[in-house]
Amino acid sequence: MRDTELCKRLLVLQEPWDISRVRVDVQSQELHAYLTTGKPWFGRSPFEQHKWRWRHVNVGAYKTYIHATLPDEGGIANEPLPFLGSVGKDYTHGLARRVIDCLQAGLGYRQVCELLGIDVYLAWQIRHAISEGQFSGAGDKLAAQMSAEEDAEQARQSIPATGDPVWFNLLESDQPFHANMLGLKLLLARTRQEFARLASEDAKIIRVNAVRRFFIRHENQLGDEIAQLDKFRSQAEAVSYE
Amino acid sequence: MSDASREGLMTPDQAAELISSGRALCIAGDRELLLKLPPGNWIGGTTPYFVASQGGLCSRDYVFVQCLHGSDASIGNYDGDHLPHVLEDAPEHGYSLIILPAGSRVLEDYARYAPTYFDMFIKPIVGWVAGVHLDELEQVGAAVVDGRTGDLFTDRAVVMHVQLPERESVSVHTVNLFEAGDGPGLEFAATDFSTEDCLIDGRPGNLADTIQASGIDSRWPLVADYCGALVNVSIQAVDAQARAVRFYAPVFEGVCYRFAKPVAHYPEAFLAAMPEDPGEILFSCNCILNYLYSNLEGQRTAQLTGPITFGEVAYQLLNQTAVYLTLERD
Repeated sequence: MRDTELCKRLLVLQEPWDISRVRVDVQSQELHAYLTTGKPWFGRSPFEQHKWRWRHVNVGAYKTYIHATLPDEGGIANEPLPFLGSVGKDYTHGLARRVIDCLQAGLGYRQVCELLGIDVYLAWQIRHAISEGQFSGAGDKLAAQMSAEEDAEQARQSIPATGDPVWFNLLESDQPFHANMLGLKLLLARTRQEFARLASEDAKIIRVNAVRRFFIRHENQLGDEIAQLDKFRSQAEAVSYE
Repeated sequence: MSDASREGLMTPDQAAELISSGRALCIAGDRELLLKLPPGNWIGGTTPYFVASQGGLCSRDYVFVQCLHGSDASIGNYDGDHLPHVLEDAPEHGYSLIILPAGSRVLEDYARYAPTYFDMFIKPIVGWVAGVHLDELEQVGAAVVDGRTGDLFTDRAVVMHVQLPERESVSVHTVNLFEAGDGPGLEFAATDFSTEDCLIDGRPGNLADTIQASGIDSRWPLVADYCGALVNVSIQAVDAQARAVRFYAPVFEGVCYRFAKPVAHYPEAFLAAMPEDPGEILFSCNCILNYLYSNLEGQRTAQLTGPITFGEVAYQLLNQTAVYLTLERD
């Protein structure tokens, strides 16, 4: 049996999805599966197709990553297939479901990470999505259990999204930012110091998420700082237009 | 002395009574006294130095007890391998109090790597470094105690993770009477507890030589500005012969330090730096160097009472700083 066929069975792919290529990195123990539907994406050139990468449930001891381009609306139904993820997310629906099952079975956050071999950053993203009610099957109890970040919904209104350039401007800059809370001062100093050295965009996004999480958790105490973010954006835009 | 229903300085019998109430407690005291306490919901660390409401003192007859406000609490003890996960065990809504033994590997690990732990700076963590009587520095090791079993450790950290009710949160604060001086910027090639050469205003030089040549008082720490938070690193020893300087906490690569501005009247300056209206304090501790250089024995430090410690934790390890945690209500 060809490796792509074997992988297709291991991942339980459904038509029209198929595997065009499998890459196994023995040293880092990673399996990368590149998915295709075998059809061209009409109306879009290959350069316009955004390829997503999602972390999936491990295959054996191998961390498994799915690479695919999601079809447009009106194309193949965008069902939450276990081997696919959503736009902008880092994990597949299957991995999220597995995390939910573990949490519902009473496992702790850290135990889930150890059992599934995922890092805490990813587990946090999934947990955050649960508490935001993005998984209808997760159940009220679990959603409530995970609602420590319950004001995230409200926070999203005033706190910029992860992809907002204001975070990158803030962290790449050495412009003063007046923080009142000791935790934010230390976090910001450390993140700015690290940010300059990071080459990987993924690593930068992880740092942005950490700072943003601080803002979400302490939103009630960070009125001045949130206002400064806006000012910071204005200043950054003003500079960029000069 | 405090009555057994209240926190503060008390006899071991009074502390035992408080332990039997089931409250979450942090207890500082002499090793022999801590070992006599019954098992319960408490963590402890060795130090015979305290600042009580009556003033600073060194005592081997009393322990200092702090009741940890919260709706629920759990205890963990961590070796060096598990310490990086400490904040993963912390509640989403609450705080953690950590005690680490002075001179231990686990303290060195925390000092170096805590800023990289997952959830660091996002979940509040405060605490202190257990020590010993200064007359016994070379003879006795500092230790911490997991009150659930009474086990005493010299190579593990003990942590109380405290959950808070809804509508309550905490803020971490420091009292630091030092600020960066006008002298040269100091940058280090590696994160370490000691150094020989470093960059002095961008030029290679030897730090011990610079301290000696400039007549810098080694009681004053190096100070770094972390986006407005001034963080001290205290000088433990300047070895002129080896041309090396040893610190009580690591200097970090990539951070610019300066010698602190001299403080003319340390005791007065320290007492003046105490917060006038700090709010509702849940926990506080103060540095042994402040105790010594400010002559705090017999002196009161407003509402900041607690153990006198061999290092302070406000997220990361600090030196020559008082740390306190306040309760905030929505």
